[in-house]
Amino acid sequence: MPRKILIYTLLVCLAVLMGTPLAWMVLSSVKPNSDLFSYPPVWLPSRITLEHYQHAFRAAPFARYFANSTLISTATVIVNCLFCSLAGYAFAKYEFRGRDLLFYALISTMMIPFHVILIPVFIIAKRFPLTGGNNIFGAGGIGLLDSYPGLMLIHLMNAFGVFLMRQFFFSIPDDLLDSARIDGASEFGIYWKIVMPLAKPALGTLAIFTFTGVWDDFLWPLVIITSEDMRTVQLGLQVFQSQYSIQWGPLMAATFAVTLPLILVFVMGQRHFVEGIATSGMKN
Amino acid sequence: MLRARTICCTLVLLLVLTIPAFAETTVRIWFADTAEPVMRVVRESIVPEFEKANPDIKLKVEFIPWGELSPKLLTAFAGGVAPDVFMHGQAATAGFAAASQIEPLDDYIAQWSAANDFGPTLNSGEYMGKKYLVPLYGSANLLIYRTDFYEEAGLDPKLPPTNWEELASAGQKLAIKKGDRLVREGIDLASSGTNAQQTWTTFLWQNGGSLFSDDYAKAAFNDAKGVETLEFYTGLMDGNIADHQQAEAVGSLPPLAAGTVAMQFAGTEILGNFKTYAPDKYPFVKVGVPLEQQEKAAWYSFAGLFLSRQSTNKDAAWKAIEHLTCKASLEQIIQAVGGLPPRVSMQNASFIQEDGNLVMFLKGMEAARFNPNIPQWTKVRDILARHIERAAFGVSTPEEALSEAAAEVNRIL
Amino acid sequence: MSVRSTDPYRRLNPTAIPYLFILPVILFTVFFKFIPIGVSLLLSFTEYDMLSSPRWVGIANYAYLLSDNDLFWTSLKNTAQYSLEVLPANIAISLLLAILVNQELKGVAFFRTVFYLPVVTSIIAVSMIWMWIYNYQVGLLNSILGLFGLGPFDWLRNPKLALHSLAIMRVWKGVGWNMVIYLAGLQGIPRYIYEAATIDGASAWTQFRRLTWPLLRPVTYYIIVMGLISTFQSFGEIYAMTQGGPLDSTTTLGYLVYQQAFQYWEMGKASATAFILFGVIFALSIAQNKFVSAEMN
Repeated sequence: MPRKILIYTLLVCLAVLMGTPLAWMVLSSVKPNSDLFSYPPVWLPSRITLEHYQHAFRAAPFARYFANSTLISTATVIVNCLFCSLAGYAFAKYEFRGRDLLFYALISTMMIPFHVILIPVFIIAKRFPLTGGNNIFGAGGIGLLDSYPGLMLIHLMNAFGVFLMRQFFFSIPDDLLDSARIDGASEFGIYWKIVMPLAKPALGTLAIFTFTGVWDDFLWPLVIITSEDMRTVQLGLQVFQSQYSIQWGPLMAATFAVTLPLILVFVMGQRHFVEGIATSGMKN
Repeated sequence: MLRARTICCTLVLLLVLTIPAFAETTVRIWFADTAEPVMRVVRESIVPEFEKANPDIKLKVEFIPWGELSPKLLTAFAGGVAPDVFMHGQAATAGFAAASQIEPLDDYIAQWSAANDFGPTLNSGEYMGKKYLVPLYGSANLLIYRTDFYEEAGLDPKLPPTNWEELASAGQKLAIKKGDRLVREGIDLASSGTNAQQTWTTFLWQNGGSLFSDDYAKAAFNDAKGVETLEFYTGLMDGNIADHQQAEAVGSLPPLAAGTVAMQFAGTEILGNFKTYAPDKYPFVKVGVPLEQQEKAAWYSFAGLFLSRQSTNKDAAWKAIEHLTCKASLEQIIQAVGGLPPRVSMQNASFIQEDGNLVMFLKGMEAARFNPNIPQWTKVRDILARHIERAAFGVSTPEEALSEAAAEVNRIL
Repeated sequence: MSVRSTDPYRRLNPTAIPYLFILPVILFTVFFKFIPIGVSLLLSFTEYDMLSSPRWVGIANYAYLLSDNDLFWTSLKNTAQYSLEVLPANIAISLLLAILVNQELKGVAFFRTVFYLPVVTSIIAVSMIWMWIYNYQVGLLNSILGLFGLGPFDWLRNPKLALHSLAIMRVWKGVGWNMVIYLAGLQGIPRYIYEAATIDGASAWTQFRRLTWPLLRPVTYYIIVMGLISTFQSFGEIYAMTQGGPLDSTTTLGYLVYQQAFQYWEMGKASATAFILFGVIFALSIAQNKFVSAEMN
């Protein structure tokens, strides 16, 4: 019993430490301006107001931004799960020439900051053939700029995903695959019908990693999006920062509003999420 | 049958509808502000007015946060998808002009009836004798102070400091210390970033110094006048009058409103912040005059519109610039932003005359000086700021700081 | 079997299959990673402002950075220090959190969520909140410390404190993520191992030291490598909160790269800086890998 009390005390203390900044955000979002910056700080609002939320949703079409972010994040997750699992499976379960070299080359791409490849990637996106008015040589139009595929482009595959899936597939016994081969299953059939169903938890983890990454991205959407109705949530939040000042109340309100769905996803999915990583062979 | 007819009708209708769309020219504009009131007037009033007057031109305005303007513009220019018109501060002129990415506007300006009304502000975006910028609004770096603190300290709020000595002595009286910590700075000075460069350069000019030699071939700020200026500047940051760093904003609240400083150097935007977030304190805010030591000077800067060289519709783009900077548009933009009007005839507008503080900012313009337009400017500015900071923290003496800065600047000029 | 007769892959040469499987990823990587990285490697030997054509300067950029450039060395030092502060703290705290929320207790899901929340909140908004918390005169932290007669501290404006303050925030933002990963690791340890240890009379601390920690070593290795990669590139919080100051005390390599590229239009120098950064992370990851495998044997 005393052990339980000790654990709860620790949990509560840590939760207070960890939760305070965000509690402040939520409280700030419903405080009138007069309460926001008083010193010493006032914790509870003198009256609860929704004016910041009204202001925020008037300033920018957050519903639309939210739909954009959700759409591209979800689509990216699907592509990622497919490509990364295919590659991860090959790297884990096949012997082929150049395997390790390819794998490490892939992993090392993570170590270059995005800023220095931004311009080349931007030009490739702009010159992408047969899209956005471009001809087969990638000239004439804007390519993938200002489009959903463009937004997804740089996230379609990530080396980390391949790494994660490879780790997971190590834990699948070779015997299982061999017996399927003896039964006459094709290599792709084995991957699709035997391996993939087993990989669900790991795919779930990859999905959450990818989703968060795309959702949080700021610089790439900033440079390729030009139409207002293509903006993502992160770009939308910029509306509240101008050169010299921050619109504190609306920023807090909008941030809370766009974070809430992610929180709900985590609350609902946290069990599976954790199981996903647990089985994905992080144990090597 | 019926279906076929419907399809035919629809096709004809579509064709009819799309013909005018093909005849239209679209002008893409990047507007550097995301404040809601600005976006509203541009979207709801300025753009519709233009499109009504010019049915053959469509304006596509995109609002970009100031801080992200640089990466966004650079990528767009490098990728060949730059907007026709974009907004930026005058400091961007030389860089883009030297890289031949913006169009000189002299030919347009020569035939423009409104040009005279802009007066010297049209020169703010001049590089190698050519004009590149039509200003939208300006800001400055003037002394702003709290009259209630003045009265508390036994000073006359009607008599703000006019030179360095008065500034220092007022600051001394206004500062409040608790133990060895300043709970209210007498005067708040910036020691880093663009603010430090702007404020310190103002002092340098007041002391009769200048940033560069006349031909911009060498740094000149490290002469005796410069050293004297930096000595005075960092001398104020002794922990009795000012901290060696600028006070932080509290959320949306400027430190002057929070009461953590009694005087500071700031631009017009601070007035808007006061009105929105501390309206009860606004009656106690006053703008001073440009200080005069050897000379009377104050730092001013304009932001405005540039015409991209990549634009394929330059004439239509110029029309858009004309419209955005006509008196009616400027009045709406400036009221939303809280900046200074670039046009002389607007100075008597009622929204300015009503606010004594804006009038002071306008009056100060008689002593206005601008940062120089040279391509290496951003780098020079940051080198200068970096060494001012080193002197402010006592890492180097003012003399060392300036001579190191000058050496670095001379290397890149 | 139907799979056999309809599946086109069946007819393929078996040695081609793995290549086929990795093809999408390799194609993507070639076009959106290798080529841009190659371009940037070439650019690191040029002077390039992104608006006019690059000019070949040989190793001048590297020489400039590595020889007399004190800002580069300062940022390298800051970056290393930042990682050294963030990583161990992150590992210790996230492991503690993971152990706590791994208990079978009521309401544990609530605590998991609270600890995970900072991960999903926008870095821009989070930086704003922390700037207010760290405010010298009216910030929450100084106001709380004041109750205990401590402070005030100038968290973000004191060159001796600023980097640590950023590190604290970064740990706060990131521990939730690693907590989840450790939690998964903990759940992967079979329960009977602990039961045996309890029967043997090992204390909780001994169990942790002898069982949990060693069994979690692969997880820790993974967290360190990922942490190195991400902290060495840290940019967002610095850009939002300190812009590298005061006195360059928070200028990291990630921020320096941004500054060179997008403020000064010096893509050549920015690329060179990035490749030095790459070299450092690469060397550290390999060293770490060697260290771990040596320890495991």
